[in-house]
Amino acid sequence: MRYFMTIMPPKEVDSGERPVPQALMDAMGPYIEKVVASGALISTGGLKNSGTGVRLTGNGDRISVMDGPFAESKEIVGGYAVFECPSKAEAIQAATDFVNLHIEHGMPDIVVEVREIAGGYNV
Amino acid sequence: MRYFMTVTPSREYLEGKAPPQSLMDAMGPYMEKAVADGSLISTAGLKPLAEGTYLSSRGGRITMKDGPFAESKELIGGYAIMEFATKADAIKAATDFVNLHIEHGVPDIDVSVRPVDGGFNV
Repeated sequence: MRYFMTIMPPKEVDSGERPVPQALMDAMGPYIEKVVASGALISTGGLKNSGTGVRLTGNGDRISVMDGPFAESKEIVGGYAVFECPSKAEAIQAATDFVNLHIEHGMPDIVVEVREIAGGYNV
Repeated sequence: MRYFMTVTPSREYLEGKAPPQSLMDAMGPYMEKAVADGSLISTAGLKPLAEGTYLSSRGGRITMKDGPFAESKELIGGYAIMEFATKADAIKAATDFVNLHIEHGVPDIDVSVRPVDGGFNV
């Protein structure tokens, strides 16, 4: 089964007030190599800060367009990953490993949401 | 440049209400077009919130919560990764996608467009 994960670091990381620890950046390469080799990782990306983003809102038949950053948001997505795992328990284990990687490398405050994919398309 | 888009419909759809048949019928040809022009890299709709899990670490302590995340504000119903020459092209594609929903019975919908800063795709 395929799972979609969003990663939400502290807002100060998105705003640039708090840098991503070098130890975490160093640990990310070997971690990604491992999950690619195991066949679990399908796609992942880190996003540029939300100040470079745009939000479109359809209300009735009107679309409003707002530039980032999105100050009123409680949580800001910093990255995403698509994983293939045999069960939800294994997807949650993969997410837990990812959170632990952050905790062990200087970013102890982080949120990961795990959602099962209902169908889709990949190049 | 590569862009990451999230789609947030109204709460009832996030909780599992089926989209209008007319929207589902329109989505196939829309996706075929975006695949044919090379802009669509990856996309998916997500299962209802109740099937999701939320892991939160505060100071290194992990708590786990199952959906449907009543208190969360930014909830996602689907995502797309698309490749465009400029941000204006990405916003144009997102506008087309919102219009597709408006025209097919889902007039209240949010799409966020964020540039990707490196990553990996199989």
